[in-house]
Amino acid sequence: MALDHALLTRAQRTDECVLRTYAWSRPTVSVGRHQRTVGIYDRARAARLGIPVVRRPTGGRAVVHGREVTYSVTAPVTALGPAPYDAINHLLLDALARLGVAASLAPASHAVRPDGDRAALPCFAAAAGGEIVTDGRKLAGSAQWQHDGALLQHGSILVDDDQELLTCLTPDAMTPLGPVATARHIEVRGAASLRAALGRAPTVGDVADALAAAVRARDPDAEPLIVDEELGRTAESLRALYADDTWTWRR
Amino acid sequence: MAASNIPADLLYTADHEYLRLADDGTASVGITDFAQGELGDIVFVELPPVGTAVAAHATFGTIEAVKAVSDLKAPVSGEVVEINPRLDAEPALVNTDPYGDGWLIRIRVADPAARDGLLGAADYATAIGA
Repeated sequence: MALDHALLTRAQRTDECVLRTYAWSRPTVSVGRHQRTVGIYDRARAARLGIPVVRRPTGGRAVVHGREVTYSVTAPVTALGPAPYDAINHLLLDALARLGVAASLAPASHAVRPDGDRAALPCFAAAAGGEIVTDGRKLAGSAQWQHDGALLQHGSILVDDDQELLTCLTPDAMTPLGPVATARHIEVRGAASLRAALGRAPTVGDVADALAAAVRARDPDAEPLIVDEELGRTAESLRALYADDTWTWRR
Repeated sequence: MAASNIPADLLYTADHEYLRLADDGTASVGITDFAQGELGDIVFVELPPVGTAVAAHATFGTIEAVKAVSDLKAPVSGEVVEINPRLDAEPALVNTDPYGDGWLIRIRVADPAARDGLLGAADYATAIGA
């Protein structure tokens, strides 16, 4: 989160566009900037189960970062055309096609307004218009933050559908939860996955390579990201924010 | 694209906020019909507590639509004297009635002359190509 935020601040000063792909060292839940967590997810239970919870600066709803690939895009707001959210989703579609996945964008009629209780729904419970779906089910969830002339878009592409893990963090969850690895294999209706689409699970590296190829198809001069001293310093200064429980559990 | 509603009696910023001046030195602030249309379905509005000092053109809150979180910029400097209490439960009011029930904050304007830097309805219409 801190490095993505730092890249946003760099994009405010430069014309640089960056795509990052990454995986998480252990299953972690991220929630949206404004999403209500207090009374929805059980902080003590998450701690007992050893599942870190972080709050993104971007919008959207809760995601389990377990069997998925996370991406971030940072850019000046105007660098990706008049509709940057759609431009990034088309980049993802290109990458997915390179993996052999026939995905599409959900029609605008899929628009959802997660008011009230629905705001607590997981990200993958429903596809909004413009999000990436296969067979009508959500494969990638994305959310953006536009701040002072730059944007940060976060997204998650499911390799396997392990989003059911979220239900174990609700206060009324009955589980004595087994190992997290067990939860990875729970079938969840409503979400798609790369395994379901391909009949196999690509590695994080496969997905990252496909995304990089899609970037190079648009910009042959694209170069690998180098985290220089200044970027590292900025990220370090922001790290405390995202590690602070008063941010994570602020509402 | 449907034509945007741009009331003639309000002042506007290039960031798509409006200012509705009252006789008591306060003003209501909201986002324009054009802005809510561009953002799409609003799902959350984060506003500052009453008593907060806001600076012209600086961020005073954020607004989340289905696709993105965006900054809210103050049209003029002043102090927040009221926030719209309905938006926490009914953020969609910003979509359905941006100039009425979907107002965001009311501020006590620090310098009445600051309004001179804002756009009238005709200039705002030109700015958005309406």
